[in-house]
Amino acid sequence: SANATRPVMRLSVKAASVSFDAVEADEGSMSLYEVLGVAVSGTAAELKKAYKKLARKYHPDVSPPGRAEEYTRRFIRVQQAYETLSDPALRELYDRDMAMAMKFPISSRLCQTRYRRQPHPFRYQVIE
Amino acid sequence: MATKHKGRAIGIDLGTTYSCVAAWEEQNGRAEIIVNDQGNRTTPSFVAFTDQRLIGDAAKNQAASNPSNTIFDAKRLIGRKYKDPAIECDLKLWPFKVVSGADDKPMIKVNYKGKEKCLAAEEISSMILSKMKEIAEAYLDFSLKNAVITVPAYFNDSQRKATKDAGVIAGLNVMRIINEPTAAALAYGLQKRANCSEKRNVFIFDLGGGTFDVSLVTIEDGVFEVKATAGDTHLGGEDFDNRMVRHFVQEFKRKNRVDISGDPRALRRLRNGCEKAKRILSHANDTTIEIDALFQGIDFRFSITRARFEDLNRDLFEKCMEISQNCLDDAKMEKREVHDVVLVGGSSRIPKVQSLLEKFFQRYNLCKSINPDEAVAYGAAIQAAMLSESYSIVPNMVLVDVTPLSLGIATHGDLMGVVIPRNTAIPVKMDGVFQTIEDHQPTASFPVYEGERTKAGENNLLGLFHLSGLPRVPRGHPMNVIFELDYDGILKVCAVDETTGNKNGITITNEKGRLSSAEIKRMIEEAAFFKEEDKKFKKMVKAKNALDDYIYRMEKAMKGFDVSSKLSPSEKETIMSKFRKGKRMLESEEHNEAAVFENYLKRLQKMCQPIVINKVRDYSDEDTD
Repeated sequence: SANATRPVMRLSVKAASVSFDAVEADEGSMSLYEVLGVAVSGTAAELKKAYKKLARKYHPDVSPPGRAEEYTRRFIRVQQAYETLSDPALRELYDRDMAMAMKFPISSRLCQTRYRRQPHPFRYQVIE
Repeated sequence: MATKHKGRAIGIDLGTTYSCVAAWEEQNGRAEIIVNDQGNRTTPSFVAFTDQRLIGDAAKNQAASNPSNTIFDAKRLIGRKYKDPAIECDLKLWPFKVVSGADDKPMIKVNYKGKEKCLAAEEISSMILSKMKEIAEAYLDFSLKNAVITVPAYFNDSQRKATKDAGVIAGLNVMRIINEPTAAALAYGLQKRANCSEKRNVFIFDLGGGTFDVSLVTIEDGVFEVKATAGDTHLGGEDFDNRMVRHFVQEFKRKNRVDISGDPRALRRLRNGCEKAKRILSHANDTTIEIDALFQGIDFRFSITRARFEDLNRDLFEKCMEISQNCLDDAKMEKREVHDVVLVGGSSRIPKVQSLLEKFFQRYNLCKSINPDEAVAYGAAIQAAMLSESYSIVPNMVLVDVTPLSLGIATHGDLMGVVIPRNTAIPVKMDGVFQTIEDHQPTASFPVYEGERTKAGENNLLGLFHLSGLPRVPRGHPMNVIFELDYDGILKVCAVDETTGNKNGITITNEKGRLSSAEIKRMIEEAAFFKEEDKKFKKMVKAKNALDDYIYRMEKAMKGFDVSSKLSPSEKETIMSKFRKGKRMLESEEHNEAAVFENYLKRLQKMCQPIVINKVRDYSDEDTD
């Protein structure tokens, strides 16, 4: 039937709790604190200050000619890092995961994780 | 991408009812609103067709006498389908004719020089944009290409892209499309909070002629961050006018037992009266609309109070407050955390709107210190300067905007699987994991949608792509879908099957209903044709005037005694008959080529030359023009 050739509706969303961002390997090894250049013990005010400074520095609008793509990528990382670390609950979660990763290097990919407080409900919806 | 553009740049606020243009003035450290040829700081978004094409004030001024060929509200049509329920009601109210074209694209029918023409909304908008470009060029004495154009924050992808297309047709290099409330925030931040380093949460309330937008922006250390945005692309001053028009049509019917709703000319005159009354009601408690011989010789005379006007639009005003609440909810911010409430857009002057807003925020200090009609263009000019390399002194600030609508993939059962939720800061890269639903499913389709409805089909389809060559495995096979949205709102979607490394994706640029490059090319040619026709018309008017002027002067000279004595009666009669013929030519509509009049003028000049040189010294140095 026509439906068989159009598997449009034949997708479902997996119950993924977090999503990963495809980030280049060399940059991917930095922790979120390293991205912002703030100590792990840094205060919320320090994080914010660092974020604003980096946002102004790496904003694609102020990129030198020919480096817009690189700046966009960096800007996205700065944005993601601040999003996670500025939320106390997410920061605590991230700190715990980072401590785990120190002990068990296998889960090193965690440092690329974008943490979300409330994943979109559809993310959890599994349809048969 | 955000590489800097060469050459100076302008900011254009392309409004539903009025447009405004501004340019960054380096030496003053601020943006300047540019006045048009009529001395007005805003230009009506009107285009009219007669034996010539009129744009702006000229078009609006003649709207009542030429209602079916005076086009406005193109912004309400742009990027929409003919069947869009949002414009269903407008179609009945517009005095011009809109038909459904290819792909259900609305096309506007006009009569230009006696011939019927079908124009897309993009073309009408492009005419307004080219007018704004001309206004700026005249003022700056500089040929321009680069521009930043604003759109309502709640415009969807096709509306934004259609606006960009309009810019291209107008011969502009559209450096970026930015959101109107965001532009207003830039203007506010620069004008009022330039020396403020602590954090300000600014709520922008933008109620314009056709659209309503609210945005919550935080300003701190030169970083403008949009936290959330919400709106309605079909709510504004025009809707308030419509309510009034409808009310008065009924009143008129009750009193005089005649229905004017079928008469475009009467409706246009009534609409103009209502718009004026609405403005008066912002400072007076009641007003009277008087229109002589509105319909079948019956005069129109009705008064309306502010309370009645508010009553007619009560639900619309309340809707504004609801949307404001949604925006705060999305930003996860309490009303009391908002430092400034900034009013933008002409309709934000309505007292009821202000009092509802005061009640909503429980405060009585709404910010009215920036010009609500000009703030958006002002902000666009700031952004334009930041994107152009021709300016060395620009404000040291950056803007972090958000995507107004969620982006995702339609999943099984037509459910919207959101990957990038609305109000996510851009640029952004996010992904989601989707899985197959059948055993041994060889291909998966990924229809990309934008919108907030749970049912994907009710959202706006952006594009579709497939990933084939999936391994023969049971259902539940995962595929990673990566969404990448850049600063210009260009969305790249890519699906990867990590087990095989298969990859496929699309860049959303050309969805259905959008203009193809061939169509844009045709429209650019058409625009050039219109421009050429405008030029021809101007040239003809000039030639006609020159001929008229010459005949008038020479006739006067012939009456003089000096001339009469030097010419025989028959010579004089020949010349006079030539003048009469010239006058007939001027009066008849037969000729519309400038050359006809120019040649005739030359012939007359040659014939009269001996008289002029010898006898009428006074005129001799003028007859060469």
